[in-house]
Amino acid sequence: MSLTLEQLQDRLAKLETSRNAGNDPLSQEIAALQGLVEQFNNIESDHFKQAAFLQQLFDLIPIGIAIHINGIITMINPTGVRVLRARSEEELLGKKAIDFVHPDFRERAMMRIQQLLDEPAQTDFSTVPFVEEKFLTVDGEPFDVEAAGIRMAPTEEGTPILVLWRDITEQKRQHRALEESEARFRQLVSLLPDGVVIHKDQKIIFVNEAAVKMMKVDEPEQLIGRTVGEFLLPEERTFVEQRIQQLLTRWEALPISKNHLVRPNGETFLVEVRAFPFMERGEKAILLVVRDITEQERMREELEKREARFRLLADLLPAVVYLVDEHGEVLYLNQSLDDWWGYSLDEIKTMDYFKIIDREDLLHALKVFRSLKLGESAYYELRVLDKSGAAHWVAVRTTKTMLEDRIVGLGVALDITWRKEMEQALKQLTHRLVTSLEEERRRIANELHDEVGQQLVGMKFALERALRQVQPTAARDAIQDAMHQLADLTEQVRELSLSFRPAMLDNLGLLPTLLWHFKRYAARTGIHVRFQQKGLDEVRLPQSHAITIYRVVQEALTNIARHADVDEAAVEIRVSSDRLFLKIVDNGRGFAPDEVLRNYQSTGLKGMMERVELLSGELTIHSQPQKGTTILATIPLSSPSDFSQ
Amino acid sequence: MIRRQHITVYLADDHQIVLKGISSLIDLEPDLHLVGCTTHSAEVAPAVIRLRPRVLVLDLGLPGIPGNEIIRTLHSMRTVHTKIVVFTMHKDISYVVQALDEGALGYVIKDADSAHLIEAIRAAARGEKYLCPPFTWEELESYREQLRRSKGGADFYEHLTRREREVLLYVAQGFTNKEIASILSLSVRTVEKHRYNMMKKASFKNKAEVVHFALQRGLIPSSSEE
Repeated sequence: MSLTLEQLQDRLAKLETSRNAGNDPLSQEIAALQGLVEQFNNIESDHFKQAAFLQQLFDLIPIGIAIHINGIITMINPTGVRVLRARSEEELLGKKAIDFVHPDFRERAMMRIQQLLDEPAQTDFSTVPFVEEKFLTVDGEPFDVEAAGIRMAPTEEGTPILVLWRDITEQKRQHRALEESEARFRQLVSLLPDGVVIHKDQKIIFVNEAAVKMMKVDEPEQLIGRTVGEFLLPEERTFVEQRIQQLLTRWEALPISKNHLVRPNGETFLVEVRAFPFMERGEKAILLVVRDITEQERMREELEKREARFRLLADLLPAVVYLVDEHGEVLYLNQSLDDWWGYSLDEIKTMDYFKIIDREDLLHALKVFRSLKLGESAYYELRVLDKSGAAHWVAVRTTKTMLEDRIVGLGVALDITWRKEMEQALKQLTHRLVTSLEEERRRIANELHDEVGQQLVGMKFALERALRQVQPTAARDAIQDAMHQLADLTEQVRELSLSFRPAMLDNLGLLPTLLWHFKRYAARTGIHVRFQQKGLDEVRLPQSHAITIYRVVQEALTNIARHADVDEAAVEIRVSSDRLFLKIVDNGRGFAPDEVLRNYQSTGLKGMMERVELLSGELTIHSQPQKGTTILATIPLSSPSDFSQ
Repeated sequence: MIRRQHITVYLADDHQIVLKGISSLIDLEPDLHLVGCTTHSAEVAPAVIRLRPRVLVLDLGLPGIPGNEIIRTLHSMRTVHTKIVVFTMHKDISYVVQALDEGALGYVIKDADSAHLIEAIRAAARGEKYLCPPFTWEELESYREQLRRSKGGADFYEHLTRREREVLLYVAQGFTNKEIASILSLSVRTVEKHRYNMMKKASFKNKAEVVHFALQRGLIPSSSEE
């Protein structure tokens, strides 16, 4: 216990240096010691109190302290007892000190003790060498310690050796964990596809494998030790140096930059660089993550070239090509619009273009577009109002796609006004044709029925009168002959009139006319018509609808008689509040409708379709060779078009 | 002078030549007496009310008021006891049924032997029905039967609401409830409700049946052949 106060303070200073070197776990001990030293200073004058204090220090200090003389433990403080996991001081006193040193370290420990005994008594404790070794607990469990021995003044029994030790098991464990994590980190860096470079004062001190590969050298050593500037283009050096300065002064990561690198073999290539400042062994260093973007850049340029070609193509198209987002904002518009609808490109880009589209058409288009799935396309026609307010018909084909994070519509719009006008003209023409045809048929049918027919009846009366008045048999025979011929002629005229247009269609309506037609048809062709109707006997159809249905049925049945080779056909008519439905079915030979229609082989089929379309209805023909034919027609009921009286 | 047992006859026909023919025929029959004639449809009913003939011989095709309407009007009058014989060029059973249904007693076609007209007038005067050949009462019945047979039963489609029909149409076209909702500007819940009701009314078991029905009905065009 000959430790002087100065020596204690000196030891304290040593510990503090050790803490600054990064061995933090000691700091608590140092703080405790410092507190004690301050107390000690206050009681310096009183030796008794000093002794008591030192005893207290001996008891409380969290460092194991033991004294052994001739290898036998003669004294040990409570911390020592605890660390060796003994139950009491008595358990250890009188034991051999060397038994508590791990067998691996015993030889060295013995040597050090011998050295202490051989050397002159120490006065400068600041040089006490702490060494790492392993001790054993009373149960033989090894644990890591930091230990030092001090030779004290000899006594009668021998020279006491003071041993100080500290349990550093936890520190060792942490150190190992750190080493492992650093190893993992190094492995990670070596596996990174990006080049990783660390430089200090522009001198390269670390490169990973990717960096070596990127620079096309064989060994990291070919890069380490060289300066960053050696791998830069002369014209980019200033830029890079400025960035390094910025990094060092701001001490935070900078935005990604692009610059070229020069390989030792003289090739240059483009890289993207991320830079982070950090402390490396107390000095400022810069970590660079470098990515070769030559290929990426080449692709981008290629894409730009392609896009330019497409833009040019789009500008040459006699159509509007557009890209519009969900809110109607135009993102792209080709240049051909200059010649369209009287608007300039600038005007159309800045205006609310929704306003120049017919509202009803626009709503329809938006509905269709919204129900599209990504990647699907749709076709619709809409009206665009030109600068003078006149409507132009435009056909639009659009697709829904993603542009960056937005849903956009990419579309092509073609002015089809001329086509619409042609269609309209054609429709009107067809309408006039059908109307005048029906009118003419009706007129002829009436003429035959009312005029010719009644004249014939008049003649019949005259002949009947004559028959009553003449007596000679020869004359009577001649008159009766004439009467027979007259009856035949009347029947022929009646048939002719009906075949032009059955008067009952106008007089009695569609239902009796159809029944009459089916009966006549069966008599002439031998084909029985199964007929089903709903509502036809309750509703009087508009004349235009009645005549259309009659003509379609007539045409279809004529076709069946000509081509189908069946003895039965079915007709179904349903009238509901808003539409008329017609179905004509046979199980006969069938045909390929597309082919027949395309080749204009049947003006009859085309005529049926046209008549139905004139009433805004739709007629479809479903047929296949050997599988029969089904004709379906639906006609809305409330069509303003009425082409027959 | 008109004797009490004489059958008084009024003629309505827009052809002079026919009027002349009939009147000369009637003149030959001692029990028939012509009380008047007209070529105008509007004059028929007033003349009948005024002259009260036993029998009216009526052409169905007078310009103006349709013949069947004249029959209906006269038949519905309680004070008029005139019997009607239709004399016409129309030789289809549907005209016969219609005229008899409206209240005519006899039906004679103009190009038949004139004796049939005289017989029909006498029968009508007795309150009896008369059909001239080639018509028969059996043919009349079979036509009525044909009419009855053609009449299809009520169809669920007519009981659907406008919305249910729309939903049916879009379901058949393969739209999802969500898409239908956006097309019709309805909530998905509402579309689900209409769809449920539609399927229930139609007793459709699955979507395939909806498509089949819509195709059969021509509600949706079929690009592929059936």
